[in-house]
Amino acid sequence: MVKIRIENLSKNYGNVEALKSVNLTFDREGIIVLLGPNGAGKTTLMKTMTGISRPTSGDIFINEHSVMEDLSTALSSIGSLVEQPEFYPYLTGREILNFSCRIRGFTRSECTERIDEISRLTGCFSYLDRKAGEYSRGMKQRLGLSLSLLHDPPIIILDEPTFGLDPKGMYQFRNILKDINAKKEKIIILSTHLIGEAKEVGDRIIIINNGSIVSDFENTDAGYVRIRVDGSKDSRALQELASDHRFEDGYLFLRPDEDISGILKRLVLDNVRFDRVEEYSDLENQYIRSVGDS
Amino acid sequence: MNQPGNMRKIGIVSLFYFRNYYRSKSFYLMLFLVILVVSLLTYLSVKYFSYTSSFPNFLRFSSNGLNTGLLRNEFSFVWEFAGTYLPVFASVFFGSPAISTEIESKTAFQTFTYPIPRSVLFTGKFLAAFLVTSIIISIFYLGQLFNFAYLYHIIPPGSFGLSYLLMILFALAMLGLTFLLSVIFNKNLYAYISVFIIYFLVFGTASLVISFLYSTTPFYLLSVSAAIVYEVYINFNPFNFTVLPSISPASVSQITLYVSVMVVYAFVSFMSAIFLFESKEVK
Repeated sequence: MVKIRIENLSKNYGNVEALKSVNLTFDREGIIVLLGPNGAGKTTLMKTMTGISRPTSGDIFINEHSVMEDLSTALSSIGSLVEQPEFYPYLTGREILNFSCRIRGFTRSECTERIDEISRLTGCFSYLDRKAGEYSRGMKQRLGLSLSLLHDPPIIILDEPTFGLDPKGMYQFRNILKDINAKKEKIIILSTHLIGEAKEVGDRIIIINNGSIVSDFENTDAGYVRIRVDGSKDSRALQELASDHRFEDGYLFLRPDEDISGILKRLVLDNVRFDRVEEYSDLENQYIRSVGDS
Repeated sequence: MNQPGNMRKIGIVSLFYFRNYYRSKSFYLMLFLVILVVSLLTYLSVKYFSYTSSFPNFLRFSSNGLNTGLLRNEFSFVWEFAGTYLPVFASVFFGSPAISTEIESKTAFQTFTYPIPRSVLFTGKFLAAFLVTSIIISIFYLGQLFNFAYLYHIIPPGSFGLSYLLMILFALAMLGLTFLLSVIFNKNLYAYISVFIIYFLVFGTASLVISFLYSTTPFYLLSVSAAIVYEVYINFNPFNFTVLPSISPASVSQITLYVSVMVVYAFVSFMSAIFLFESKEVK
């Protein structure tokens, strides 16, 4: 069983405490989302997990290998994409992937096979023989994702992977992630500041703020459609709906797979006035509560 | 999947970075510079260093007139004197940005996450830079070789090979120094400028002051020991004021001393750079 154990991890940049005694364990396959505002410590946490930064104190164990003491062994289980990827401009995408593959011990023919397979999955196959200096932001992002998947690592760390992509690119990127996660064979740790993205792809959500973990929970939030109704529950239709639905502060909460228009029609026929119909997420509320004014 | 050994990994890393180096603008700029220098020296050689040319006063090291052996040595001396700047510039082009550019252009976010020891990464990159620098130096020596053979109709003496090896050693020491500065700085510009300041300004001034004040040759300065590259022909360093010019080649003990200095520079700076690189991080 692959496991990541973070113990009392702190990271200071001068007087700034970027991480404050963080303790976490990742021992179940699926997508774990680190959610937090800009500057919360998400990227710092990922940098220390991937050896880009060294912890000020504490340690991270990847398959029981300490990143402080045995970094290169610890890194062999990880594929990562931290910050916006940049590559050597005079090398082609294929050469960059080939280097990463060969340095990990794959043979030439295995590398050719894997590069073709992964680059087709991530959508960078068509421009793989062009020099990386000519790539756009989205192209680099796909090449970076290919690099993180190339050696079939049990742990994938992705730092805001959809940042800078256009809506279509974001959609495609999330679909790739969902495909990889479908078999639940990997631990995928993804950071984002987009609540919608966290809700859509995350199996577990960890909210981080000011360098500390403020919330850690399974993502069961499928979201609601909520209707703000006027007045009391005198109406019979409303009483019936409130008996088997959540009804709080004048809002009636409906699941998105329900017959929303049928319910609205029923309320109208029973003379119930309502002035707002909107999507609602508990995650959003929880996030706002957790991060406060940050 | 078999994990390659560290030597194999160094080979893979070197090949990877060598490709990036020889396709870079820096390499083509250095190539242009070396061709320009060879062309200018070829013009000078044909005009002043053939058996029939009238030798200008400013190039005369001996008042007794020139014999053919001395003429050939002076030809080589002039070529090497100009050539000693090539390792300096090549090291600045290939060594100065070697590590700082990983931070500045953010490629470190990939390279630092490869499951290889930092020392392997550093050594591989150093070897790649050394290889491209050696190519540049070799082109210069080839130019010199052709000129020598054309002008004197003989192959150059053993000092030519010795001078080539010393130039390569000097390049190794310069690369060690530039890599060390590159590890210290996170910006390419600082890494570039600091090499020029240390080599030309600090070493140059120190050499001048020490030789004037203490009447001794500061052999421990890299810029002074580098002069051995042309002193194997004629034992004269125009930047040092304590040693009287001699038309004889440098002695074996002098060569050994200067080689030792360059080896120490190369080794100490290389090891210090690796030590610093091990704990290098990206903020």
